[in-house]
Amino acid sequence: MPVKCSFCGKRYERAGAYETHLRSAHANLDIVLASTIRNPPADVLTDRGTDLSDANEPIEHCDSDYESDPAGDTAGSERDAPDDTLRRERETEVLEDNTYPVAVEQEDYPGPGEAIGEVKEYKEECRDLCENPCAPFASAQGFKPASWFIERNFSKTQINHNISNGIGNSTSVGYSSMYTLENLLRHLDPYSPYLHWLEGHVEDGQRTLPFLYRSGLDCVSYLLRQIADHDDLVYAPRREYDQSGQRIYAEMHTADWWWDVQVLPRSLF
Amino acid sequence: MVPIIGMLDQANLTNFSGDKKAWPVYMTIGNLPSTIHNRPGSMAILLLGVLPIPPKLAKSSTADKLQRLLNADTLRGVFELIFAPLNRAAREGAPIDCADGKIRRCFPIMSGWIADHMENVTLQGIKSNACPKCEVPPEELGSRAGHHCARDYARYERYERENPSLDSETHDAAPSR
Repeated sequence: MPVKCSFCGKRYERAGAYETHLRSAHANLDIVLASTIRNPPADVLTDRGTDLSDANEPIEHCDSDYESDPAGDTAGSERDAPDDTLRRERETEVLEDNTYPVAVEQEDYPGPGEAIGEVKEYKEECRDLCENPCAPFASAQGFKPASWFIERNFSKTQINHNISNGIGNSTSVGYSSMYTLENLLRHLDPYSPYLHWLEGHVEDGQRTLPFLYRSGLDCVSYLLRQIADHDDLVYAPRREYDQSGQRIYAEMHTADWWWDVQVLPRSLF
Repeated sequence: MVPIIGMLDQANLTNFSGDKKAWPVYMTIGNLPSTIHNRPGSMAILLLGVLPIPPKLAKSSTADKLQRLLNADTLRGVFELIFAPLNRAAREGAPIDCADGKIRRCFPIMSGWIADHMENVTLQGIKSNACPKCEVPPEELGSRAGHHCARDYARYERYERENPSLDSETHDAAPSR
């Protein structure tokens, strides 16, 4: 059964071709993947054929629809020869997949999104993430069992039991009990300090009701700080048009509200 | 600008030991595309708070009517507390670290609120048979006849301030422009 790429709608029959497509066309989706694509180690490139279980597939054809389809070569070469017919076919296919039409023309709102400074130690942060994607775990050997425990909702007792009986060598995994694992999990999300809880009290005339909340500004800071989304974040409204000049309303920044509400920064006045 | 999208829905936790409910409020930002919002596990929608649930009240009682108004005011007080940091930032801007390593002056502005009708009724202090978007009379709901102006809650607030003796039921009989 063919697998459909959830990001662009292309279909693949083999897992190897699908993975190659993900690594090339959607390299920005995952920091770990991105790090291997942008700085591919030599051994990864040489092992690619055996690793991806499809040694005969050329890398430049990885973008084709239906990896096993005979027409795949033609589709794969369309990137190099952008013929109008092929492009039209491709757009029709995209429309049939219920995704958005392709914007051929766009008009950006002038001004917003200007930087007023640089985030301190940003480069070091990115480098650390690329070099050690399993941080704060020492290695994948420690990260994988931990993610397995969490995904399966293991209780603390079960985790302790598994650690003492199964994993054994605590120096290689980096934790020896649920307590030390919890300490690592607390540091798993580097931006978690943004999301601290506050306790509030309100009176309804009869009694005082406690409730928990987070600061809205902290939540905004947390969402804007996610490095994993840095290619997708939009800071300014934009008007998009398709080939026939029709306006495309696909996302919030392509609609009118943002454009109307956006105010130019003071420096541009 | 950072458009904020809020979400609110009452969640029924259990029917045992007295109908336990939770009232979670979620939020996300419009700077992220909808594909990110809709992806499970993308962590793009954050739990902003869990609102206090007011006690159940009987349907027809004058004392309870007053309590209902108090509950609605309580809820509004909670929202004011949660969004207080955003109010200042929306007017003056706040420097926020962004994912591309730049610091930007951001103006978080509430752009949308996703909620069921009954949540809109509670939040905006209208009657349950009133439209939260426009001033259509209840008997004309669902009909396409006539054009009714959109609700301007800031105008209602001004009207309420100028006429302090009126309670929130005047929202349905708000003055025309």
